[in-house]
Amino acid sequence: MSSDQIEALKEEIWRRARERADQILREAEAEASRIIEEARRRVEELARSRIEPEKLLLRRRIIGKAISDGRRMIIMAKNEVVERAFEKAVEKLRREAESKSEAYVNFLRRSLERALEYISGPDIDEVVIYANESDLNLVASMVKDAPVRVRLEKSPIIGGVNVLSADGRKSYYSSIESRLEALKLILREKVANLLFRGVEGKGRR
Amino acid sequence: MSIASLLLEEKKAMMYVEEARKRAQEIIQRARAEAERIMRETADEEAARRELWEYAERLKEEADKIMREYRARAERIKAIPDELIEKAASLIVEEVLSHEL
Repeated sequence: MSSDQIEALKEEIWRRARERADQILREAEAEASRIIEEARRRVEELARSRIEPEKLLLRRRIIGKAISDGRRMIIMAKNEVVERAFEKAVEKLRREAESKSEAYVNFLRRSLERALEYISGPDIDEVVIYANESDLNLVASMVKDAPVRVRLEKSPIIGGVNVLSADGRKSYYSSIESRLEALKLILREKVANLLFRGVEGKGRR
Repeated sequence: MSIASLLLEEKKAMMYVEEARKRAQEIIQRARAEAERIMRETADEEAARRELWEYAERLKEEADKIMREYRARAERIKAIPDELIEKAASLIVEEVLSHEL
């Protein structure tokens, strides 16, 4: 064997050795990466199984409370505005009653008609009509032809009438206060629709 | 040069490969140690508490933002123009006096 041939063989021996060593190191690096990735994956799984439920509870508690407090705040703000409208309405109704406006006088007349129609009957001898002092004369003129004996009493109501049979068995409430009270739920909804339509933008929770 | 020198060279090359194997073992051992460290950190209750505390802080910031939005909405609602309140009051008066309801 010539020295060139021996030299060539040596180079081949080292080429293969380097190739093998490189391959071993590459495989080791890949295995190391796999081990660490696996650990990270398990860590994430563990975190998900242990911490995530607690995070969910925290979110429900903190964010849930904020949303519920916020909604309450909106409801209170709306109630405040609706109440303002009702206060203003009471002022207006008081003015209508005091000025004996046409609308108010018509209301009073219809209230009396309905009250007497409801309460009158063969077993009713007398009815008592409660009205604001300033309405007593007006009421008296409206019931002068009533089919039943009428007694008028003054009452600290804004307007309208409350009518009772003298024996107390039948009653008809049509004072402004009782109308307001009776209609409040329905009116609140109507008023809210009128007031808040278009007030609030998009993106509501 | 002779066959003997070739054998010697072959032995050196084998030792070189063997050295690479040792280094590979070390790489894997270091990776295993690192994996254990990662797992230990996760098992650490203090770390879990810290993470939850940080998460809660982020949620509080989010909750503050939500409340700010609601507060702004509430202010917008309260700032309804007087004309609209007047209109609503007139509606109430009309309904009360009308006997339609």
